[in-house]
Amino acid sequence: MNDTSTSGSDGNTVSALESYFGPYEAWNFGIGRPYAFPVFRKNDSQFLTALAEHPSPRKPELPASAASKAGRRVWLPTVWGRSENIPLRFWPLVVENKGDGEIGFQNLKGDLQQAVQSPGIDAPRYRMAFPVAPANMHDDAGADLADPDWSPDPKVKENSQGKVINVLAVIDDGIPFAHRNFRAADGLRTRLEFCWVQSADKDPEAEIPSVLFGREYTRDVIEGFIRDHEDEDALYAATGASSEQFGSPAAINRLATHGAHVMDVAAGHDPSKFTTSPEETRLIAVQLPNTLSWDTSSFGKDMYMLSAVHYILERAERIAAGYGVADIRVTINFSYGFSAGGHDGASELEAAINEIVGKRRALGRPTAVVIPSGNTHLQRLHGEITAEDLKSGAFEFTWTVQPSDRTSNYLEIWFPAGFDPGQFTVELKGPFNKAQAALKLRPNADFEDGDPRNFEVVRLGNRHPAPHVGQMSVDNHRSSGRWRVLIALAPSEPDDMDLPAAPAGDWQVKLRRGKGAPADHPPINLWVQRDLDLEAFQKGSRQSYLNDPDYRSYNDRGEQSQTDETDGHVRRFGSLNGMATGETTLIVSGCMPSAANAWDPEQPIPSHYSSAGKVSPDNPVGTVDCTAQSDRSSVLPGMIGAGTRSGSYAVVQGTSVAAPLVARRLSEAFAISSQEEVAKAEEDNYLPLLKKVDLPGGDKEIYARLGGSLII
Amino acid sequence: MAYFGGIGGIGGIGGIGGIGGIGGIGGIGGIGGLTGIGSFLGAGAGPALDPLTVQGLQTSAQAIAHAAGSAAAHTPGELKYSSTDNLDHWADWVRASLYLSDFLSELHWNIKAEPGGAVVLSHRARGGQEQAFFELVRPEMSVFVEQAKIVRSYMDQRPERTPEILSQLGFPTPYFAMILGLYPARNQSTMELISITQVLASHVAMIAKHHLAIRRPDRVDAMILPMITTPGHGSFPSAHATEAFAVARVLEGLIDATASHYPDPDKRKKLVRKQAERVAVSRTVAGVHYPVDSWAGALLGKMVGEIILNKCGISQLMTGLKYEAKADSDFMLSQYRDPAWKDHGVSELQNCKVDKSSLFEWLWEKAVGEFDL
Repeated sequence: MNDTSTSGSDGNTVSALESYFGPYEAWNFGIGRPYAFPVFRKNDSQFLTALAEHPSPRKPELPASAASKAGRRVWLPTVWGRSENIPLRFWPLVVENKGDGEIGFQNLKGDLQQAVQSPGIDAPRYRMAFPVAPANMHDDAGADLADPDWSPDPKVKENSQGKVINVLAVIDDGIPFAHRNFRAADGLRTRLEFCWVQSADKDPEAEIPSVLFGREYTRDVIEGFIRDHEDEDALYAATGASSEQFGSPAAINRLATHGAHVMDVAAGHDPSKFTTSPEETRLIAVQLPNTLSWDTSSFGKDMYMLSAVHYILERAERIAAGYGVADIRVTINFSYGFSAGGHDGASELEAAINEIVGKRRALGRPTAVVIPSGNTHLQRLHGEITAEDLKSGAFEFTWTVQPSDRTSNYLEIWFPAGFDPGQFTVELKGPFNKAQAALKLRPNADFEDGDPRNFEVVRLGNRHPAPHVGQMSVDNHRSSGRWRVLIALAPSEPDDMDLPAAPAGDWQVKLRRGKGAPADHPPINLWVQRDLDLEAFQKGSRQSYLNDPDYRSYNDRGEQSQTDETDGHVRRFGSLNGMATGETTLIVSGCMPSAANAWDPEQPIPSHYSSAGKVSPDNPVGTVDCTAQSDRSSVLPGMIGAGTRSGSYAVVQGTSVAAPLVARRLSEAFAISSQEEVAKAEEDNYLPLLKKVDLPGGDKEIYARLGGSLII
Repeated sequence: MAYFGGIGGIGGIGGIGGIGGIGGIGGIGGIGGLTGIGSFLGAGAGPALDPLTVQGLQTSAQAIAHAAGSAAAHTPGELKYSSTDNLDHWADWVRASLYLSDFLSELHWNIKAEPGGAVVLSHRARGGQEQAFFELVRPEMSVFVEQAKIVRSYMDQRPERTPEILSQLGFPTPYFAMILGLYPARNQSTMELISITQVLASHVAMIAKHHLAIRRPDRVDAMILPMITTPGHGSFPSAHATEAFAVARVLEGLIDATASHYPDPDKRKKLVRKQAERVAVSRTVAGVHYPVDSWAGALLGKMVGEIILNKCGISQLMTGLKYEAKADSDFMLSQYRDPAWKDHGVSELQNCKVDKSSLFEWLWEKAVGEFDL
C-alpha cells in the first residue's frame, strides 16, 4: 500500500502514514489538525523538527548526501559524541519543509523519509515536534556548527580549593541567566559557562553559528552584558532573549518563572544570605521554547528536550577540556514531565535520554539526571483494570471530559508486556450516546512498514457524513513490544466555533474480551494525559479524568484521601511522571513537615499531589528514589526561590522544586567524592553519595511515595 | 449653604469650581477622591458644620456676647502684603490653586495643522518671549496598528501586575514614597510637591491628548480586551507616564538637594526612574496605552518636572524636546536617554529659560527642610 490514507470500517477516510508516525502525529496532522496548536494548524512552517528513532544505533554522520539528492536540507543540532563518532538510536533532527510551509502527511513523509534515508535503515520512526521559527533558525549553517567562543575562567581553579570541578545543568523555561545568584562571590564573574536559549532570535552577527537555532550565551558574553547593564530588563532585551516566539511573550519578562525558581534551588547562591558560591560547580542552562508549555500532554517537545540534553553533555566535555578535568561529572536537572506513556522507560524521549546517559557512563564519565516524580497523585489520571475486573468478559469505565476545554484530550490504555490483545475490542460511547466508535485491537495488514497499528474514527451523531470528533488507535511499541490503545478527543470548545466539538461529559469506554483471549494477566493500565492550563499561556486546557463512583476524594476524617480504595479502578499509586521511569534517572518526590510530627523537617509526609509508583513489590511503573521538601507546610504551600530579577523571590509548588535540591546536593557530592565512590554509586544513580536522612520503611505506601531517604 | 456644597466637592467652597472639575479630568472615578486635587485640597478645607451646630453657634453667640463688654473694637496687626510668609496660613487647596494658576499662566500651546498635525507647548513668562519646550507630532494611524501588536505582547503580565494596576488608577504616590521612605507627618511638604507635580503634569497631558485625539488600543485591535475601563480621553500621550516621569524628575532634584540625607542617593534616583517606567508600562499591560504613549508622556513629564524645578529655583535653563513616534518602538527606560532615544524619534529643540516663582521656591525650601536630619 502506498497511499497515505486507508479506509476505516465505516467508509470514513482515516489518514495514516506509510512511514511510521505515532498516533499523536496521526491525530495532530490528520483529522485532529484543525484542533491542534496554532503552529501546527498553520501552513507556514519552514523548519520541521523530529526525534528520529532507528532500529539500531547509527553513527552521527549527516545524511547530507541523501538529503541533497532529494533536494532537501536536514540539520543536526549540537549533539554529544559527534567528534567521537558515537553511534546512537535516537537523533534530534531539523528538516527543511519543501511544501511551501505546508504540513501534510504527504510532505511530512517526503521531507522526513527522503531526508534521512540511507541503506540499512528500513523503518525509522519519528516523533514530531514544534517547528523552529524562521527567525530562530540558522538555515545557512552547514553540516558543522562553529565551536562556541569560549575559554575557561582562570580564577576557577584557585577558587575551587581542591574540590573536583563538575557541571550542574538545568533544562527549563524562563532562565534568568544574568541573575546575581548564579555569579561568583565577586558578583562580576558568572558561574554559568553556557546558556542556550532555544527560542531566542538568532544572533544576526554570527557568521557561523555555534547553535543551529536560538542563541547561545557563553560566560564571557553574559559577563559583558552584566557589566554593561545595571537594569536587568534592559539586559535581557539587549541579549535578544526576550523576543517572542509564535506569539508567546517571553517568560523572562515575568516576575517569576518555573525556570528561575528551579535553577535557583539547584544552583543559586543568594549574596544577601552570606553564602559563598561554589566555583567548582560550573553551570549550563538550556531554555526551552515557550511554546512547549502550550501542550502539557508532551506532544511536540521531544526534539527540543533531547537536543537540550545533547547540548549540555557536548558543552560539558568542553568544560572538562578547558579546566583540564578528566571524565567530568555532570548533573542534569530536568523538572518536566507528562502523565501518560508506557511507564516502562521505553517512551521515545526517555529511551533517548537513557541511551546517551548510558553511553557516557560507559565511557567512565559520571552522568546524573534528576527528574521529579510528578504532581498528579490526586488528579484521577491513572487506573488499573485487573483480570478480575474483566471476569464477565467486559469492563466499562468512565472518562470525563470537561466543558470549555479548548484543547484535545488523550487517554492511553497500556497492555502488559508480552500480552496480545488481538481478541479484545474497545468500544467508546459519548455522553448521551452523542458519539460512538469501536476498534478491534488488531493491526491492519495494509500498513506494511513500521509498527503494527490500526485506526478508527470517532463520529458525532448519526448524520451522514458524520463529523469527526476523535480518533481511536491501537499500536505496538517496537522497543517494548507492548500494545497501546490511544483515544484522542477533539476539544469540547474548539477555538474555531465552526468545528464540531467533542461533547463534554462522561465518555464510556468498554474493554471487551473476545473468545480465546487469555483470562489471566497482570493489570491493564490507564493513563490520561495531563492537560493543564498554565494561566500565562491561556490555551484553555481543562483536565479530563477517570470518573469512578468508588473513588473517595475525602476520607472519614475529612482529609483528602491519599490512599487507594480497595474497590474501584482509579489509582493514585502509579500516577508517576511518565518521564520518570527510565533506568538512569534519579526520581525525586515532594514532601513537607507535618503537624503530627511537630513540624520536624526530618519526619516529613508526602505532599498531597506528589506522585508515586505502585505499592506492590513488583512495581512495574517506576519508583521514587528519594524525597525532598516541596511545601513549607500544609498551610504554606510551595517553597521560596528566586524570581527572574536579581533580588526577587517567588513561591513555587510541586515536585519540580524538590528535584533541583537533590541535583544541588549531587553536584556538591560530585565535588568531594573519590572516583571509586562515584563509580560504586553509579548503579544506584549516585544516590549513595548523598548525605541523607533515612526514612522508616514500615508503611509501604509512604515508602512508595517518599522512597527510602530524605535529602535536605 | 455653601458649606454643604463643600462637603462633597471642595470646588464648591471657594468658588473654585474649575478645580473641582479638574479632579475629574483624569476620567477615572477615583482620581478626584484618591489622589487628585480633591484630597490634596480637602486636607485644608474648613469643617463643614451640621445645621444643628450652626444654629447652636448662633444661640450661644447671642447668649454670651454681653460678657465681652461694650468697649470699642481693637485694631489688629496686618498680615504681610503679597508675601509667601502667608502661604502656611492658607488652606492646602488654596496653595494648590495658586501653584496651578502660576504654572498655567506661563503655559501656551500652538496647534499645527501641517503636515499631519503637532502640538507645540511653550513657556512664556509675563511680558516675555514664547519659548517652545516640547513638540509632539501626531503619528499616523499605521503607527498605532503596529503598536497594538506590542500591547498584546504585554497581556500575559496582567495577573502579576493587577494589584499595581488597580492601585495606580489614580496617582501612584505610595510607590514613590516607598523608595524615599516618606511619612505624611514628617514629609507633608514633600507630599505637597509630589501632588502638585502630578496635577500639573495631568493638566498639560490633557491639553496634548485633546488636540492629538488618538484612539485607544482597544479601538484598534479587538483582542486587546483591557482589564480596566478605557479612560474617556485620548491615548497619546499617556498621562500616567507624564505624571510619573514628572514626579521622577522632581524627586531626582530633591534627592540631589538633600544628598546628605540618604547614604545612597544614586540608587534612590535609579529606583525612582525605574518605578516611573513600571507605572507607565503597567498601563500598556492593562491594555489602555501604546508604548509610544509612554514615550510621549515620559518626555513630556520630564519637561514638566524641569519647569517645576526651575520654578523652584534649582536652575533656569532646560533643553526642549520633540517627539516623532516610531511604529516599532517599545518603551524601555534604558532607551530613555540621549543618544539612545534618537532611534526612537526624540530630537532636541532650543534651550528654554524658566524663571523662578516665589510660590514654588517656598514649597521647595519647606520640602528640602524635611530632610535635615
